[in-house]
Amino acid sequence: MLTSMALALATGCYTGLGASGDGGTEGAGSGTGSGAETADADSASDDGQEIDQAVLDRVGASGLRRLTAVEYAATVYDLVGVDVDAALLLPEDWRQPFDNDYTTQVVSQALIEGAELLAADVAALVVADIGLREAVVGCTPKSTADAECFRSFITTFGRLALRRPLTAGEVDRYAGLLVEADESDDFYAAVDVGLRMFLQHPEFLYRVELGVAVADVPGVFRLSDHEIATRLAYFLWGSTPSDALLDLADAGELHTTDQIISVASLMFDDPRARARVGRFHALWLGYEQLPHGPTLAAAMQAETQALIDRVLFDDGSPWQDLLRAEETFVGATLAEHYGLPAPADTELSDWVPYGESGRQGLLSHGTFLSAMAKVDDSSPTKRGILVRSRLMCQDIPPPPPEVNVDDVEPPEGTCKEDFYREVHAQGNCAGCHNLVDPIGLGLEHYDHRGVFRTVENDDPTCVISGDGMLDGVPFNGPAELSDLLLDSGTLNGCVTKQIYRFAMGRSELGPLDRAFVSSIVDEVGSDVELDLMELLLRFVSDEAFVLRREEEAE
Amino acid sequence: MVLHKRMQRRSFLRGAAGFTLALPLLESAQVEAAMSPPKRYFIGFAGSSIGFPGFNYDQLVPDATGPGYDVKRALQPLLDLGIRDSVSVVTGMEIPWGDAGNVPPGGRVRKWHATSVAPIISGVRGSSVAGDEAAQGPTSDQVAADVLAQDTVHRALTYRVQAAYYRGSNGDGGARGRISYRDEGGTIVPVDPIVSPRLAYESLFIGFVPPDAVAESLAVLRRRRSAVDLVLEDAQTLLPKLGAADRQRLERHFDELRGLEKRLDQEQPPLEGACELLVHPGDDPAIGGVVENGDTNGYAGGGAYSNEQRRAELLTDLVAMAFTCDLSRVASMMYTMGQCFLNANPLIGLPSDMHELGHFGVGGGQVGLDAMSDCVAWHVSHFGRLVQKLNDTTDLDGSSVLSNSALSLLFEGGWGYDPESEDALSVHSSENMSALIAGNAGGLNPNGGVHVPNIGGHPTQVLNTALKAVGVDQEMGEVSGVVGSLLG
Repeated sequence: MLTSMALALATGCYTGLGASGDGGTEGAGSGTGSGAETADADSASDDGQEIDQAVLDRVGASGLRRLTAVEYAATVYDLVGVDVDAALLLPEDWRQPFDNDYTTQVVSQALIEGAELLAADVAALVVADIGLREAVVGCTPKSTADAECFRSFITTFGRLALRRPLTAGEVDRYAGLLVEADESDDFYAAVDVGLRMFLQHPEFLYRVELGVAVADVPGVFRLSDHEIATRLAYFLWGSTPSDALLDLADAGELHTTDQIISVASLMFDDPRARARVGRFHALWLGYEQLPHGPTLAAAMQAETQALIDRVLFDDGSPWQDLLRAEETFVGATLAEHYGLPAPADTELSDWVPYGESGRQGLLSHGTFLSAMAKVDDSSPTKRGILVRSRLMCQDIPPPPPEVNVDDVEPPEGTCKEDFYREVHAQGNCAGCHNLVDPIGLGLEHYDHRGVFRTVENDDPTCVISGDGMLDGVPFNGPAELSDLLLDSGTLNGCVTKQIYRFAMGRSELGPLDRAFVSSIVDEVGSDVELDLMELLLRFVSDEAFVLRREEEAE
Repeated sequence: MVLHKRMQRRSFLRGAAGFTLALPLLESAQVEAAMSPPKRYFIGFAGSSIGFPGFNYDQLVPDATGPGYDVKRALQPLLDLGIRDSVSVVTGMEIPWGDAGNVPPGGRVRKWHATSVAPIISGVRGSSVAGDEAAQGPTSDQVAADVLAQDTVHRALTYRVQAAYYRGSNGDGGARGRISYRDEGGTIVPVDPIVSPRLAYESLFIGFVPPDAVAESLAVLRRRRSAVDLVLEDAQTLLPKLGAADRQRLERHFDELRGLEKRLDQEQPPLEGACELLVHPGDDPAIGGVVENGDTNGYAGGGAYSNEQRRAELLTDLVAMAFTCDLSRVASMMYTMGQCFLNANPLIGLPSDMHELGHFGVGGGQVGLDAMSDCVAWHVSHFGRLVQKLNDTTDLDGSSVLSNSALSLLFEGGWGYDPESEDALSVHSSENMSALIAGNAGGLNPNGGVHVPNIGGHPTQVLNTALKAVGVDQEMGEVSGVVGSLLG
């Protein structure tokens, strides 16, 4: 059974069939809701197993997380095979830089009505398509009010939509929607209502985690197997747990560390894992939305995704190889844009060597070089901030509000590079700008579109040196910067921290969160080659990953 | 228009499993002929300044004061629509500024983008925290709704025309895409706007039963109601299982769900007189992609544009009908975001975005000033269209809906000194700000549309004036005072 489930996990297919959830578990409602027990500092147990205090000390707070628009669309597609652009109807998710920070999510009439209209749209699309509705319903009704078939649909689809088996009481209540079939003289009218209901359900729109209270540790709960399945799925796939994943949860086979590692390893084989890792990088490094026309933006994003796919998935190489790559995946147009030789077949994209161009790895991609650009030129300051804050996880304070950061132009006759080196590096400005500007100046040979240049955009008499510095060490260009970063010993810790933020849906990390990150970094090492898949497995196999701590109410 | 008390949809049948089914719509309640029309409040916002670099004047402020003012380029739509005499122009205002920690009341920090929005809409000084552009107090639409909304189907309509930010990684505009904030127990919370005209339509006309599709509409309503009923029950069951923080979150969700339930349940006004079911707008216009700055081909090709022209028309029609049918008495419309990168080419025929037009995007001098003025005029045209519609709609007392309304249009900036760049004549300035105010609620605009210089006054005083006119006895945040001559 495990093998067949593994195959189903890998394909991520919605089979329409699965274990009957009728009268299965209590579902997510099995938790007590709030830790009212008084603390007993000497012991903490979970299913009779002791939980080490060191584990408890790295269980961060987690709260109700609403599906982002992207997650909603992916979930709906995996559930019913329908493509919807949820972002058209749902309020926008703020990028912090990740789009899933639950602490920024607010509820509004726009959300509720957008979700209702989306649910109606999806239901209509499913019901209107014979193939889709047969797959979703899973049986052919023998009559307009075929109670058995409808009940089966409710049970099966409900389990997938709510990500846990329904209770018998829930099945009975939802099965009552069949009355709509009589009203409309159409079985699928009842299916329509059922779909609308499930897609507006709080346990669909939100990832509800209750778990089971850990004895003697107020506010800490161990997730149920179904909640673990949901955490894994949205972390590694950005979508809902598959039928097979839920089967494992139903069978209690998503409980131990070994079980979780085994399942997560298989989940990496799913194409959704590639897309998810790609999305993580795009949000992290600021290139999810590029300030370019759609053709150029798409080509750049495909280039970076191809590198991620190849290094992390196809070759299983260390994450650091993203910064070391000596060739890139481009079509003829993008190659020309970069000044690189075109692929052999100019009709297709292919890997093209960087040669002596001075480019190397992701830091020379148009995606990275475009991120945080100014309106019509690169900003050495912003690029330096991007490197310091996103790649090195260093806090760079914002400029004082009274400082003009918009449309800063060098005085006439002053070269941009001189202006940055001399003006910013003065007085009260020097402290921050000396941290960031030298980094950005080392990338100035590449404009805000990733195009190589030797002179400044606005003044051809201003020759760009491209000389930069990172913590006192000179460099010139993305290749040398990449090498310095690789030697800096900061990357592993920062990657781990960023993954944590993305996984847990929190931009601001508290002491417990930082403890989780540190424990992993300490174990993995700061200076070693980082196997990202192993890192992700380390994440999900940590005992703290299956625990949650309630937040303090405001 | 006929107004009547809201009724709960009655006569539900209980289905076999306890589900409710609605009977056909009942006859409407008795007309309460003695009822006076409600007051309506509208705020529009334009993410644009009104001047151009290097100019010590703009093409909005009339030369003459009082009624019959001369109309310049930016206000030409008022003449075109025949409503100049219904719209007052308040000019010469300013928002004070200060450095972090020293921001004056109702003021903003020195940095320009986009720090004027928060004090305009809330009257509370902007945050001193770098990058925090959110309003620090409730906004006037929410303040108005507290008083005016009563039992209307929609407490307040919150719309935005500009569909996306169109620049860089800030796709949703963040605080630059919102002008509505409410006070939730001392916490100021943003209210998401509805951007999709289709959703706005479906939301506004929730429960409407067109006479030519009664059975079908009732069936849809029934299904919607059944689904929401179950969801509400389950949300209520889930609530006590959650921790305190999550309970707060879900309670908020639950409250909005109950609002939806109530709207599904309420009897809609009869479709008679001026109250009519508008034609469904169909699918929303596609969201345009980014255009690189200076890419005239990109602008000419229609990027950075999601047919905001049509969106503005549709949303304006909805506001007008909402007021007419008494579905809502309060509305906010963010035409464009702070630092607006909306493509101006489809709107005024110039291949640049609205923000760059103010920075020599199509040239300087008179060309640039005209371009900025035409952008302002685009906003004025849509505001004016709402004014016209309400003016042409008969209200309960035989007057027009406009005569029982107060409508304001505020702009993000004026022109003048920019403390950030220290330029003396910049569009990054909250000096020389203007606003429009229309309607006659509570004696507003007793002399019709006039030009009133309010030199040194705060733009939010215009909102105070509108609020007073509709009977809301509250001034906005830290900004006190009204434009007295506009109140009868």
